[in-house]
Amino acid sequence: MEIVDQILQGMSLYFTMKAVLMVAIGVAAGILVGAIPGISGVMATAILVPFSFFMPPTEGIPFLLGLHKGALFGDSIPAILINTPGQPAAAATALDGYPLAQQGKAKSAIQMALVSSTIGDTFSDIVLILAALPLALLALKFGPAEFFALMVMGLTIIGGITGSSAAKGILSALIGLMIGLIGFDAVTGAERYTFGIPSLQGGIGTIPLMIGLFAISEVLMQAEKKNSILSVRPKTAHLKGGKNLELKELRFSARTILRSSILGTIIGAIPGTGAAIATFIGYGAAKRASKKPEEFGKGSLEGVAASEAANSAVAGADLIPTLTLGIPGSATAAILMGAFLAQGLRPGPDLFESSGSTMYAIFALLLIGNPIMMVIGWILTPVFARVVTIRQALLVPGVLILCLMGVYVFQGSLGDIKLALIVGVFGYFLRKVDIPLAPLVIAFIITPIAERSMKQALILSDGDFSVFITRPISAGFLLLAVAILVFGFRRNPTRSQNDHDS
Amino acid sequence: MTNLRFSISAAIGAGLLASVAVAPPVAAAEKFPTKPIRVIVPTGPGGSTDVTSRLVASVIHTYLGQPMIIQLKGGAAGTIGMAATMAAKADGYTLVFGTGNHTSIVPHVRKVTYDSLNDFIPVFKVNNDPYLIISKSDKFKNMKDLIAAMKANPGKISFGSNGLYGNGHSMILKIELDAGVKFKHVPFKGGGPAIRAMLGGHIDTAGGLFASAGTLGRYKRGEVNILGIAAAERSKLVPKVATFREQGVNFVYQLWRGFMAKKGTPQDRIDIIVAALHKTMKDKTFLRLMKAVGSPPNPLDGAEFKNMILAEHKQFGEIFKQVGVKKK
Amino acid sequence: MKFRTTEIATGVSFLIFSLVYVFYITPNFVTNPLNDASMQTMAWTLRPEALPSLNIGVFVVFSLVMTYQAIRSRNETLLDLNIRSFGKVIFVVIWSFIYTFLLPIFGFLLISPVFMAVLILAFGLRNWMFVLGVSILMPVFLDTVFFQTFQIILPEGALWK
Repeated sequence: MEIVDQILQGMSLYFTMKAVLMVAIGVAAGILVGAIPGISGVMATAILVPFSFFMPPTEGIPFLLGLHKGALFGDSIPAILINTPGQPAAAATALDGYPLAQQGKAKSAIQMALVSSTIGDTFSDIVLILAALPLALLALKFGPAEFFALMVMGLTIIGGITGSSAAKGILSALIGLMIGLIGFDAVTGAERYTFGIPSLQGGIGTIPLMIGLFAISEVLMQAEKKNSILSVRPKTAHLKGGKNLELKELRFSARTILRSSILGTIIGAIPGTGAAIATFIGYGAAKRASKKPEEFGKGSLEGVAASEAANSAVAGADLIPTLTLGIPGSATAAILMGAFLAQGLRPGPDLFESSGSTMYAIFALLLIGNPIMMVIGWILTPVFARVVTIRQALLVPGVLILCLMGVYVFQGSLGDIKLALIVGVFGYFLRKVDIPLAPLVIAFIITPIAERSMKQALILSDGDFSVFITRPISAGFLLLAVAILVFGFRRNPTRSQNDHDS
Repeated sequence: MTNLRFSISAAIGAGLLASVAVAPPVAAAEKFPTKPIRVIVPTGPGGSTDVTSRLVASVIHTYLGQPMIIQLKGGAAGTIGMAATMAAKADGYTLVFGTGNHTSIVPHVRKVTYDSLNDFIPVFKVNNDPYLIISKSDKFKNMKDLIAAMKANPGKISFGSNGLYGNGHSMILKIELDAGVKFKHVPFKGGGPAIRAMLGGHIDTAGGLFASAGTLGRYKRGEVNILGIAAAERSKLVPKVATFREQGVNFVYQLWRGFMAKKGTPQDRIDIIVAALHKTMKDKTFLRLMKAVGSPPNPLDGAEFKNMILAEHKQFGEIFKQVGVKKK
Repeated sequence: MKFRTTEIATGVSFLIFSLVYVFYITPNFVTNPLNDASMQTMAWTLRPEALPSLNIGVFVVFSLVMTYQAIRSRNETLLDLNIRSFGKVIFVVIWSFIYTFLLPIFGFLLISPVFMAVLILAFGLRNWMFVLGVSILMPVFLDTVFFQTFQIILPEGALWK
């Protein structure tokens, strides 16, 4: 019964009221920080980590864990309220969340995001506790070829979210690809499309692109409206953000939440993939399997659930390779790992031997963090939901300045602000012609990784293309991708025919 | 029209009101520094440079009297952050916290708007880690093994680097020159992914520091072998690991992190900063934190620091010249 | 104007862009002068222009498809746009650019209230309390959060230096 001893010992040391309190504070801080577009989770964690060093281990780590969780829910809030994803992972949330807010259902959208986030995070925490090591070892088997295949599969989901015209969706993705090509080619060292501007060498930043594409284009679309509409309270203001989430709505999305949690956990456990990819795959899969796919993109609570469950599942899954192998799965995990080290814990295979009791307590804190987040989030939601009752004439300039500053702090560059504005104008035109934005973002994020992985794999195999098919994991993902394309297109012809006849 | 004009003037009035709240105080004839010092970190968030700078900043304000504020200005392999430092006034209120990569490697392979050797005054080196070449323990025991294997299979042994002409790649260029071998170079975006790929068995060797993805811990557990350490002498942490020089490759590379100031910064101000930094290096809290993240302080300042950078710069210059690399 | 006209216009402009892309912009590649030797022996798939070329090819195809679909479409909806609303959009864009240029001169706290006030007024709100209140409070709030709490530097004005 040594394990029980260890658990009890750890709990007594670590699982104190103070630690739980620190988790709560961390969650609250994370939500608030995540709600500010532009302060990405990575940046917030990097800035707040030194504060944690001055707290004793029993307080520092729970605080950071709470922060991590809270931020992943928090960045869905601006996505829903002002169409500004706080991080790329929240882009899918904005697709359905914002239309919901415009329909006066902001509150239930945020609540759905909260519940899905909590469930997704809980799920991945449980997986972390039960199956961390085997999962992490499996994840190590992902070499460049496997990454490429996974990215290709991620790209196929674009097919499912093109909206009314497949051609426009594909064009959007191709534009995203073009934008993603800008920068330094990691494999050959060639500079592509930088036009001699040094700040473009690293490519166009994700934050300026997303804020420009979503938020600023939205600002411009609002600016079109008549002043008589902008200067008074919105028509939906009396709803004060809408009604609470109903249980039946939750039950309808239950399967989706579970599916997204699983997908998010698996993909999150692979170091280097990131929450964004998990979210898009979860969203795409949900749309395909949904009973009401046509609502996706127009204000489907299921869509919000799909994306939020996935990206919060990544929160727990992130820690899998980090804790078990000492290999951080993402930038945030790397910072967390640094904090763990600073507190005397050594992530890696012997973490349990050296600090077993502590780890169990940390697991317990992780789990407790979820209901805490639910409670805090539920209390904060009406506050946030009130944002939709503000007059647009006040809200739009406020959002604009918030976003422009958010872009600025990303890299301390004024040029980024101008870039975001230009992207915003471009996004505005895209929306006017009904070209969807989501495929652009997906392609923008995925293709650089895909291209890099493909070239790495080819270097390793000395130019042999069969490597993608002969390696089992890689072949599996490619097969999945083909299947998605084939079955996906079978659905489409019937739909586009209907559009043509009407 | 009058409405618009009125509103604009009202707005300006509002702006002035707000700005009065944060107008800088009239500069009293006080000792430097009288306001916070801005530290530009030319990397992205979360990396070892960023974290180290924040650790210093979290402690130094007690010794300096003013806080150090970190400003991340990443991009273009650090050239943007370095250029931004050049654009600021040389009054001691703007420093850059960079690494050897920024001063000694990048200027050889990219066009830069500054002279990393002469436009910057090396103020203080905080720490340094020797660069290592590692592999899984069942692959190679040391560099002799590795070189022998490469001679037997030219171009087949792979090395995962943290980027084209980055730290790792430059290191193996030197190995290739001195030992007459050829790696199969696979560039990654950053050191972490490269080491991951190595651990997964996809790549044969990789480069890194003791703290990279827990390398030191893995070495102690026998999971990886450190084939060589690019230091002048063997490290007390890993006494069994031979240096590059011992194994026939004349290469020394300690990835240092430190503060630099723009040329023209008054020496007395630099001295004040250096004094505060020395005190920080001895601060108990600081030592505890730095030790925990795996990189104890190793201070160096003044002429010695500058000479170290010059030697480093020269070494890489020669490597790139011999390989035939020309600047963009 | 009609929706399908804008679609067709967009399709055509995409095609023109593709031409420019292929014949002018792509040669803007800075090929790797670091080690030209290795470039010659590289397989086509590894070359930096491989993916862009593939991409633009597919782009042309789908631009044609979109244009064709637009021509054949019987969608007669009018685009919801007139001179005044579009003018406001342009105003916001230009004013934002001016703001970006003024920021390094006047600093965040001085110029942001001006920026906001003008926008709020442009959107038709005349209530002085709201205009002044929000114009001052928002930048102050942002400054508090970004600078005081997180110590992230917002643009400083050169006037103060």
